[in-house]
Amino acid sequence: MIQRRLYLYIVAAVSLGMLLVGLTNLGSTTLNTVLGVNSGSAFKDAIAGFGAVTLVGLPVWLIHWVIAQRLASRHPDERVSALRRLYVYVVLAATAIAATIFLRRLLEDGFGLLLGSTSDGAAVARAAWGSVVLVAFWLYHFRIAAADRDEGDEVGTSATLRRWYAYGLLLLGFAFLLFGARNLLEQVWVLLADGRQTIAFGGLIPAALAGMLTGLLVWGFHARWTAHEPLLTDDRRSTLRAVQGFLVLAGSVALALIGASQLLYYALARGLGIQQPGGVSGNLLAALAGPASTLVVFALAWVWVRQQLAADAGETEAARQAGVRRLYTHLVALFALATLAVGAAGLLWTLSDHLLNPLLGRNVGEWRDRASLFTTLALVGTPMWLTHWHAAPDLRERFTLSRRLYLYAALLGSVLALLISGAVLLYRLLGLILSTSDASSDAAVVDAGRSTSVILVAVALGLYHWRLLRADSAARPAAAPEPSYSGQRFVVTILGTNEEQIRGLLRGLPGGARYSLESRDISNL
Amino acid sequence: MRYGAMRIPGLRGTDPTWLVAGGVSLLALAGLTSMLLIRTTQNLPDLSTPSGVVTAYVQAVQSGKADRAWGLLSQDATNQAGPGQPGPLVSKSDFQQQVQASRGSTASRVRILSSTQSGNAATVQVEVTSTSADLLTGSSSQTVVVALKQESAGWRITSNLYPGQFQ
Repeated sequence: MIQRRLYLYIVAAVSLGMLLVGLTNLGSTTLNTVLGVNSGSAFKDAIAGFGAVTLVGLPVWLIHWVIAQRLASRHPDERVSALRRLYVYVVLAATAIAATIFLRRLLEDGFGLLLGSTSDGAAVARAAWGSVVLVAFWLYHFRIAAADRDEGDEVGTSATLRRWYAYGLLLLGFAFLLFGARNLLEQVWVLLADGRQTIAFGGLIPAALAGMLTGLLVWGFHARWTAHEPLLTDDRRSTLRAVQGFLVLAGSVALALIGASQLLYYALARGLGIQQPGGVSGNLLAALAGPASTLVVFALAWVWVRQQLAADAGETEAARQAGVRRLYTHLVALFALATLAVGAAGLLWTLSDHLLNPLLGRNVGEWRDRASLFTTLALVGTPMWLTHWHAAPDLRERFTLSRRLYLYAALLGSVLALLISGAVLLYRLLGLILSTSDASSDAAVVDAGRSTSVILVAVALGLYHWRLLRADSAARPAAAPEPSYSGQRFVVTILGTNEEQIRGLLRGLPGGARYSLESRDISNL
Repeated sequence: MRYGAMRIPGLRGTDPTWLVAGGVSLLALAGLTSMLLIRTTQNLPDLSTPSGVVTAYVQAVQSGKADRAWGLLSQDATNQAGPGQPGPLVSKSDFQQQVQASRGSTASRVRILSSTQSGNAATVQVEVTSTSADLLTGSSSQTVVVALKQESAGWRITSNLYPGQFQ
């Protein structure tokens, strides 16, 4: 039975792929010829190639799919089989992703035509044709999946397959939506801040608009679909739903922090008198468009997704969901710690340069740009670390694997930094004592100051995390003592076997258990 | 991370998807309006200034008006050379083909960053931003420095520019 299913659905999937490729390309080629983009010979070549693919794919798919449908209607087992669900959800995912790309292209070219940034009308027609074909096939398979769910419960592997499809598409749609919104906000900001200097608008606004609206469509549909019963109750405790949520959350947090860091860096550098912070020239207000848009869009997404995850967790957070949450929290804490450490060490390094260079009669060089950058890193890393890291959480959180991974990773990073900087410091000190050839210049002293800066931060962070590891070990509850069975005696009567088999079974008793085996005549019982 | 009971006051009971759709619609409207508004308020390029000539050149290239763009290039760049003399880097017909070849694709945004003038020479620094596969920004920028000189007909471009740079 399984071999027949495998054959039917593999052939159906391959032939459907051929049919879709053939149909979309045949339509595009025909449209190109009708609109005068293609030459006659190119049209004939395309008709021959894609026509052949379509003519082979269509009957093969129809025959195999009709057989599969007939079997599904006769045998309930066939309809709820995991292989059938795999076929349906793979086709749904493939057609949805392809349709998303075509729809995005259609909207981009459509808005481009409307706003005058492109004149390629044929591209609009091609994208429209591709979208229609793919959406039609997606819709057909979506209805098939719904009918299958109505006929039999979707549990186990089948439900997992549906979740992979739903949460994969949610992630894709959300990414399109967020990046599109971020890019659109940036373009609008640039136009408003520096519109007079913009001599050609280009196609950036249509492209961003298309990405955002396509994302809204894909995300909105799948968000509403998964928010309805019975899918909502079924999925609320699923690991995949939590993984998808935390992936979006982690991405949003990281990008919001990058945006905030850039904004803060530009502001600090400009405050310190740097005209072109990070090499950015022109209108600074226009240069702020990118980081500000990133911050606004991804900070909103951060708040939004956090709220959704809080609603999912509720009072009864499943164990695996809690595991995913802890992993996320400790990962963010580790990144924040690294950012904070680089910022602090960089600031001390810059300060050391600023103090030692004038003492040695050397040129200080440009320090304000570096000071702005490292201050920004420290200012962004510190609150992030403080809000995500809990030194002494409750017992359920304290002995988790992700916390120990975080502690050991932080300790490892500190020790490695200490080792490398310690070696550099010792090399420079020995060079100065032994008056080696490269220690004659004052650069050796400056290098020693820089290494000391890194050592100070590494020691502080290393000691802190080492003490926490020790405190965790001390707080770990002692293992529960083995229950004592002294004084209890069990009498078991076994019939229908022999002494050798019983002794074999008794060897499985825990250490310390004693027994004596006595054989009695059955007539005594 | 602690899950606080974070709720937006006044929005309880509203389907959150519609809130996102509302925000997105507002942003889309802002994008379309700002582009249309700024387009309609823009003046024709002032050909008596170096930046005006660069503006006219970029707009001519993007709208496929190759002859108009060619007319804004310096005579040094466009004059056909005599026998044995080094010729221009690109002929007029090649230039026209280059302009037409890149038509239809999504055009770049071009912004003037600075304009400096010294006697009969001038340079205009422009930023060209095109759509790209960059995951975060969806665009990539490059800076192009355009050199000009004052001729009898006015300011003309002396840099060897490839029209596709501005498409």
